[in-house]
Amino acid sequence: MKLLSTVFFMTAAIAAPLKYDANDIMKKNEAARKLTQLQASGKIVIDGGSRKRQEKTFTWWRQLQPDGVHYNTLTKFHTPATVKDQAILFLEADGDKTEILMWLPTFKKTRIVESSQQNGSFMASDFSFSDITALQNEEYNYAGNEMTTCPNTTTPKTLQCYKITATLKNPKSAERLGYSKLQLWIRNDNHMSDRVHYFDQAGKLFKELDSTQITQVGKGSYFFNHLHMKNLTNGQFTVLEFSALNSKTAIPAAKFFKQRLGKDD
Amino acid sequence: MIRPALFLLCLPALASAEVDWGGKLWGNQLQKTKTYLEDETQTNGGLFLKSKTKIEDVSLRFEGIGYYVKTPLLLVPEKDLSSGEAIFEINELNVGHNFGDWSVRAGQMTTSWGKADGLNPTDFLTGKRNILLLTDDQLTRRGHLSGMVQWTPQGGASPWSVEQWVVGRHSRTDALLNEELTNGVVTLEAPDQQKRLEFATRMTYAGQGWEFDYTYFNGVNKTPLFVEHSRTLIPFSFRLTPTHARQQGHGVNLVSDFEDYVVRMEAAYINRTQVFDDADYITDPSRFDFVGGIEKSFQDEHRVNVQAVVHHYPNYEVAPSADQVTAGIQKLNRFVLAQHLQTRVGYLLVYLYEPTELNQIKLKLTWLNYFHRESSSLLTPQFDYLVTDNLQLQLYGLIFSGSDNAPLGALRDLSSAGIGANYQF
Repeated sequence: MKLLSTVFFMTAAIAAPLKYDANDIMKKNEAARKLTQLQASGKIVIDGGSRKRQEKTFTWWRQLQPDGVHYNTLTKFHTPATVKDQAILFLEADGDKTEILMWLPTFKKTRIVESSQQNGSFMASDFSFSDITALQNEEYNYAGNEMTTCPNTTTPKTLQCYKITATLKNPKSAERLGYSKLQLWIRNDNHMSDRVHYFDQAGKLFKELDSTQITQVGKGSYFFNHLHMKNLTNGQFTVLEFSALNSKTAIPAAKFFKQRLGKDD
Repeated sequence: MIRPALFLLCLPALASAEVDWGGKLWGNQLQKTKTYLEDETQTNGGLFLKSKTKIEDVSLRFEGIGYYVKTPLLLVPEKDLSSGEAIFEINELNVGHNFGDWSVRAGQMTTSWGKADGLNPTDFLTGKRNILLLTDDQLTRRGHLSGMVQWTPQGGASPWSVEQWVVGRHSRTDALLNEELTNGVVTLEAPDQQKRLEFATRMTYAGQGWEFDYTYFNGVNKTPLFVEHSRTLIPFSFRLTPTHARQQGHGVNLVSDFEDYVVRMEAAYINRTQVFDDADYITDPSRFDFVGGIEKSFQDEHRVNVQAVVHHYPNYEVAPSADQVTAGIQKLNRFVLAQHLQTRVGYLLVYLYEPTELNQIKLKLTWLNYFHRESSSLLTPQFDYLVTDNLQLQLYGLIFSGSDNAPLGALRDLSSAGIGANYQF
């Protein structure tokens, strides 16, 4: 009887997936998202609700800062002509120290996006400026590690996801980021997020992000080519697509210098 | 033989050239509000073209504007705008190169200095194409023939940056003159030559969430002063030469993010080193200008910028006039250079509404209002409708108000409602 129970216990231990703590899973997620550098072509499609469909194309550069945690990101728009040569520079830093600068070619001037507006719309899309920056693990408390079927319809049904809740360590950050809580589904194969739910400051679910078309861009690091952000309150949605990924060609650090914004041609 | 050889040498570089170009085709019709839109204020239209070519590490920029303008009310030297004129101007045609800490550029260039919104007293090098009654900054900014060297230490990574500018041919701002101001007896001569050297040194510090710059400028006033050229007694008339007076300027800019709002401040002290006793309304036209305020966004859709505006002549003494003609010229310049009061105080409000759900429309309201003794204003409401990604329709107004003594008030007759279209490519 004792032998039987030991065999049963061992079988159960082998069959069950490895159970990680929520913080461990998010560390793995951070490692999977880590890019030293990446250049890509992009397209942002704004649609749904009562809006007129709009499509904007851009080139996107991202580079990891020397601290190995934060990124510098530059987005330069090409079409339509109304936004041609507009550029947005994200210089990530801890908490509210992140800087966002916009180059407005018509005025030949740089505009600082105030910190409190980092929850504002990124180029009139359903992504906010803070959604474009990388998720900073040190800003959140993570909880939960329940295994569920990955919710994204394009993800294979056999794939399991960890369901994790992220709450802000500093409630004041909710104003800046525009949400109070995140619900993340993290794939158990590559630890990239499958879906993210965003809850507003009142705790109500208002946005849903589905990420698909994963490309491996380095050893153990991945990148989503297709991001679909849906506003659940008004039916509007935005699709962000990336192509021509290039992680090999060196991006000069000068690309992200504030002083060069708009002048680096 | 040398030329074909040179061409062959350059061929690989030319083959790798990346050319990027774009532009804007526009047309506008403005009607006078005073006569219930029955009279024309202005018809304008044209083509704006720009291109950037990159060959290896060298970049070439071009920006040109060709336009037609018919405006019965405005007087401009050597041009008859009452029956329409076609004008072509080059804003930019320059070549530049970045290497390490250094960046150099030379040729016809445009600049846009100043952190304030709408009024920029430190934009020392820029002249404005004011005869085009437009709200589009890109179409009204003029270029100058210059050379520029910029030094940013640490290969460009330093927050410090220093620029040195030398201008060989300066730009001009059109003074808005109408028949009422000139009493029909003034003829404008060609402006004085623009080949006068200008120098500017600009130091910038870009901190985290804030930026400061200081500029020293030694050049000319872009807005001309009218100096008597000659006069005839029968019939009585006199000819004036638009003259750009020499001046030195010190300018500072500060912009800072205070989490919930952005503060912008811009101030300039301009010391006029060239004074015209028989043209200037005051004996010492050195002045101080300040524009500063806060900018804030609300709910993604609204952006408000409120700025205080102050202009002050520290030494304000009315110049004596030898005769009535001199007195007339001084009065005209009092209007053109806003020398009518020692201190003018007001505000500049810029409001922008871009609804996220109706992403085809945009509303912008700019209101420059001087109060206290002056009490005059310029209100420019603007409504944009995006028909396609490239085609935009526009309804706008230019509403001047105030007394005849105030520059904005004296332009009351120009108050207009406009309709326009522009196609960007």
